[in-house]
Order: sequence, then C-alpha cells, then structure tokens
Amino acid sequence: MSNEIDEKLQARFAQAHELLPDLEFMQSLLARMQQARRLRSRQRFAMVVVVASFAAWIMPSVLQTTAAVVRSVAEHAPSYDALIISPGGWAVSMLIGFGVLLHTGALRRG
Amino acid sequence: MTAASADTWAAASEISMVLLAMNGDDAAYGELVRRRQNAIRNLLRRLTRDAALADDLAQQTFVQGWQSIRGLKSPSAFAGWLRKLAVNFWLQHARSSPQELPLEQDLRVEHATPAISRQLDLDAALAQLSRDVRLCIVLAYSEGMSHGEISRLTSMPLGTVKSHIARGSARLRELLHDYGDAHVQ
Repeated sequence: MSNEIDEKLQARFAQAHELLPDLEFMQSLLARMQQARRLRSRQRFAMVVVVASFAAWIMPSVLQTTAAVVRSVAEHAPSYDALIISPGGWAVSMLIGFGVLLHTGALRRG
Repeated sequence: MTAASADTWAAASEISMVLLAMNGDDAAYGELVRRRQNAIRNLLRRLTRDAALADDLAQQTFVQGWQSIRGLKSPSAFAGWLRKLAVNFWLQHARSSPQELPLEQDLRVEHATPAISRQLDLDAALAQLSRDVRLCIVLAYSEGMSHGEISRLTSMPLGTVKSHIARGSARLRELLHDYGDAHVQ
C-alpha cells in the first residue's frame, strides 16, 4: 500500500511536537481519577442499598408465598403414614434397609 | 513513590506495566500515563487547536483508560487503544459543538518566537480543514500512521482516507504558504 506523505509537511508536524510540562497535568489527572473513584464507590453503595431495600421489601411476600405453597403441597399430597405402619410397608422398609447395608458393605466380615 | 521505585518503574517495559495496570495496579497505570501523556496531548492539540481543551480531553481519555483497561485484549495494543480513546473523545466533542470558530483571522502572535509562530501557523492551517480531513492528516503526519491504520482506527473506507490525505496535504501546503512559510511549497 502506498502512503504518499509530504516530507516537508511531516517535518513541520515534527517541529510542532512539543515537550509539554507534565506536573500540573498529572496533578489535575490524579484529582480527576480520585473523583471518579469516589463516584464509583458511591454508585456501588447506592446499588447495594437499592438491592438490599428491594430484597427487604420483597422478602415477606416471598416467605408468605413459599409457606402457602408448602402448605398446599402438604394438603394435597397423599398420606403414606398408614402404608408405612402396615405389615407390607414394614417388610418393604426392612428390605430397603437390608439393601442399603449390602450396598455399603456393612455386612461383610473382616 | 520513592526514588528507587521510580527508577524501577522507569526501567520496566510498557507491556509489563500494562499487565500490572490491567490487574488493578494504579501506580503502574500512573507510569503509563506519564510516558504517554505528551503524545496524547500533542495529538489532541493538533486536533483541537486549544491547549486547555486538549488537556481536558486527554484527561478524560486517561480516566476512561484507567476505568476500562481490564477490557484491553492485548497489552501490546495499549498505545493504539489509548489513541483511539483520545480520537473518540475528540470526535464526541467535535460533534457536540455546533461550529468551530472561524479562523480566517491571523493567529500569529507578533512577538512570538519563530518556533511558537510556526506551531500556531500549523494549528491555524489545520483548523481550516474539515473535521475528517484534519483527523486523517494529523494521524498520518503527527502520529506517522499508515493509510490502512487510519482507516481501521477511524472506520473510514481506505479510499476516503487516501483522498482526505491527498486533498488535505494540498490545502495545508497552500495555507502554510499563505502564512508565509517559504519551506512548504
């Protein structure tokens, strides 16, 4: 790719390139960065406050809804109490327990 | 920063400093700013022709750079990335300000030294160019960028960049000649 550049103009730009004093610029920049840092901290704090407030506001309703759902599930689920205390339920429970002991190797000697 | 740590920073390579800055080391970023501020401020002075505005835009550039350096893809791309930020800040400013001041009045200072006078002449001549032409000219002549690099940085088509540079160079030669610079014909 050809980049036609006028050498005289280029020299002119090079002459215009100054060595600028940096002390004042750096001080002003550091102050600006400090300001940006403070602003960012404030924004984060504000965000935490907003999220916490929202959570606090919504929490009672979430807990109430959860409790209602648990109650509803408990009411509508079939009861297994009678089944478990019957002889058949007892036998099945024993078989399951035996299977677990076999599986874990608790019955092996040595 | 102590003298010893200042020496350590001065000896450190730019890539290692960029890596440190990307990991949140503010002292490393400060050293990067110290090394790059002159180039960025000069670039913006050529584009704005206003030292105070150029420094303000340069500071915005460095603050933005500090806030977003973690997103830099490669440490070796730091210089170009910073230049792009600076150009974007200038473009944003140029788009928001309705019209630049008319510059037909001579900006030369009667008792200015020849070096300052030459610089004022160049900046005054640059200010006569349209925004895009000036951007291409400054990137080509002041930053030494190739046409392809300028095209990528500014998102202008390569042909447009070439034509801007050709037309801008011709216009600059005319203007500088009008300002009485016998060296530029």
